[in-house]
Amino acid sequence: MEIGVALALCGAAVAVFMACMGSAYGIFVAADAASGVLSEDPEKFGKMLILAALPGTQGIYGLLAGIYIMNKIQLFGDVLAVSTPVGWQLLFAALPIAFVGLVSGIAQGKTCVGSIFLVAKKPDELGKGIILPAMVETYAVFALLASILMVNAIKI
Amino acid sequence: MGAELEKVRIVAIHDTLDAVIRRIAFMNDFELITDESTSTSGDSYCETMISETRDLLKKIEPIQSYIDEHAKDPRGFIEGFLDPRKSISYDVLKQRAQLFPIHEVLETFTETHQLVTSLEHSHTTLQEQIVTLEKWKHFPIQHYDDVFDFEHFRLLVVSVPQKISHEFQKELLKEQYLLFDDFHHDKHSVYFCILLEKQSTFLERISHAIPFTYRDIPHWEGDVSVYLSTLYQRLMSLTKKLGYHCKKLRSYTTHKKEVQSLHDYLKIQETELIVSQYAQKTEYTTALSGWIPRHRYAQLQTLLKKVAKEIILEKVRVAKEEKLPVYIENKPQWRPFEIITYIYGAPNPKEFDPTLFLAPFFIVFFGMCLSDAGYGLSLIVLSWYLIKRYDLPPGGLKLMRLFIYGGVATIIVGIITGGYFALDQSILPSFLLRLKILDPINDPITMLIISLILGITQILFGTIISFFENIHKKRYADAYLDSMVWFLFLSSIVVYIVGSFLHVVWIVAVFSKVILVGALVLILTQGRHKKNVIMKFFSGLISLYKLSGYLGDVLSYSRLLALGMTSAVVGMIVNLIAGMVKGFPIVGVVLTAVIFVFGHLLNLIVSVMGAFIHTTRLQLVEFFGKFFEGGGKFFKPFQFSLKYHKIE
Repeated sequence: MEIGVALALCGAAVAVFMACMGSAYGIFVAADAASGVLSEDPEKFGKMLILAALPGTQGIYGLLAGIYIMNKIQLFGDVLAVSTPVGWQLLFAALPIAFVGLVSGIAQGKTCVGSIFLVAKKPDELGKGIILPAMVETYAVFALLASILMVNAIKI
Repeated sequence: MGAELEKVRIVAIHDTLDAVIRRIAFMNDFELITDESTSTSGDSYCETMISETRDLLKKIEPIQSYIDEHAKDPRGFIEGFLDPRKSISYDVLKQRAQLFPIHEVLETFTETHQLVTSLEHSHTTLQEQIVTLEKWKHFPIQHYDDVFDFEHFRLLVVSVPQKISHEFQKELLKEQYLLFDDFHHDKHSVYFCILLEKQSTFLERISHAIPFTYRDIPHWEGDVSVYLSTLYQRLMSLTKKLGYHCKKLRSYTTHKKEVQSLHDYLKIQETELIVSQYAQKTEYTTALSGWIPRHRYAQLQTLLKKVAKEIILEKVRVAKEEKLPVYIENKPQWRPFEIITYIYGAPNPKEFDPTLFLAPFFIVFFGMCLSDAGYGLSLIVLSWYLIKRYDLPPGGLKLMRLFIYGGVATIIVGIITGGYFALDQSILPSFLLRLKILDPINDPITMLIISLILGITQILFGTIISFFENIHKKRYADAYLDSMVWFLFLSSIVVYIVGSFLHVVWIVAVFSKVILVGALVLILTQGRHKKNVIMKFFSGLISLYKLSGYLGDVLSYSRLLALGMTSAVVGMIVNLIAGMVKGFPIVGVVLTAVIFVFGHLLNLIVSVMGAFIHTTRLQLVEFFGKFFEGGGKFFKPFQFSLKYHKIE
């Protein structure tokens, strides 16, 4: 039985849902801390908004990887007849961004909480507060790159 | 780069100082220097006046908070987001505050307030008493204190859960000489027992099998029901009294205007006294220092002349190490973009104002994130309506104008991508379809490439800006060896990638060499700050790692595609659901319209929020990171911070 398409979709799904879970949790912890800061000083809303939104990148990367896979198997037109081994390949190719998206999203969220406390005490240091969580994001970028390179190279 | 600031000093005679302070506040363009070191030591007169003012403010707090709570102005949903303060002139405020007989009013108010509080307390206690006694209505033993007097008998009251009360009764029946009965049922049955002293241990014994709880007997006099009815009567008269005095208390809300004016007037007095504390004083004069935009100097002069002839306004030379505040001023059409700059923080005084640089990118990216002509039009209409209908504060006004610009960009992107409220292609007229060049849903890769190209453009532009910033700050080495080198290196990588993509052989051949040369230059130059040669070399090598940072930055721009797609897809789903209910009899069309309107409205709000946040994030994180140093302080004009009024 050819389950290639199912496996490919599984890959796309896993990339999307795991990375988005990471972002959702990351933004939750960051926004939680931001509300605490705003209860003391509502003037800082803009800065808090930016810092709380930073962990959102992983979800976007996961979505991108998912879309790339969906595009590869031409899901939105006539779905290609994907053989089972190729389906497995696509599933494995999705794993880097899936796992790294999940873990780095959570990690970046926690780093953003630290930045939020930094900016709460020293509002002029927003730049430094942004750079630190952005370093966590680098690894999500590498994972996305790995996933995309793999998907790109797979021959249906 | 913002307005040039002038440091000035105002010298006035003591009794004109208050008027001077008010004029400065009214101008709303003067930043007061409140550096502690310029003030003379403890002015005892000021200090006593300040504490007197603060005492009075504290005294009026009870009536003020009562009025705040019970005489609120009804406010609509949107008004809730706006500034509730009313405009008023200083003279009217002062008159209202000074004519109001605050002390008499306060005396009678406090009296009534205290009476009401104690009546409310008694009312609550009485109610609780009644609720408790209601349960004891059927207690058969009157004058129970008589029973307590017996030497050999005890009276106990226990309650048992309804379910096991039968068992409990059975146990009690086993004991001789034990009188009991139940007198109250709800979730528990409550029993009283009269038993001999020596039988007391009996209950302990059965407590293992049957969980009962002892109850305390509340106090009453004589017959329970009679006592209860007297309590009810007392409650009625108390309620009447409470109603009467509450009405009296409520009448104090008629003093709302006067009390609020008094509060704000006292706040102005307090601020004036605090400011005069920061001022340098001699026997007859006071001097205030501050910052003002150069083009407003003449206006300040005229304003001060109106207060008194003898006031001196002079320019002060700025010391070299002194930190100027940063006054951002752009042409009116660019001002809405200042919101983004304000979020990040002030540039330091030597830097460029980044507002103009981010403006075109912001608009394009916003349009790409929203990417539906129908939404763009709705956004413009809504923002325009809010501007016309409501008296928005300056920040809100800027935001609405920003949305209008964004709306225009969104319409353009919407036309290019064929998005009109996410409606299906077949419904659209053909001339619109001809304008549709891109299709993000069916061909996301093209949109992705466009987003990345825009990202590369903005990042390279950021590098160019950093080159010019360095030149401006006279850091020539950094300009050429950092900014220019990285710009050339990155550009050559871009050219190489484009060349290899388009299969232009000579570009590939030439630029692969250029990139190698570039990498070599980087290795040689990036470590120039280090001390010894080996460290210089390693630092240079490690600096190539920054390339991964640039890669991450470029990929970050892929969110433009992601956001554009999601808002389009959600729109399509709204249309799908609206289409499904069309078949319903009678209400079908109405339901379709309702789902269409509210679904797209919700999607519009969520997508606009997402577009704003992510576009701003791209400017602040990926773009500003290339050239913005920051660390400045925004110019903060002196203002009274009043609770209820705005002085005009």
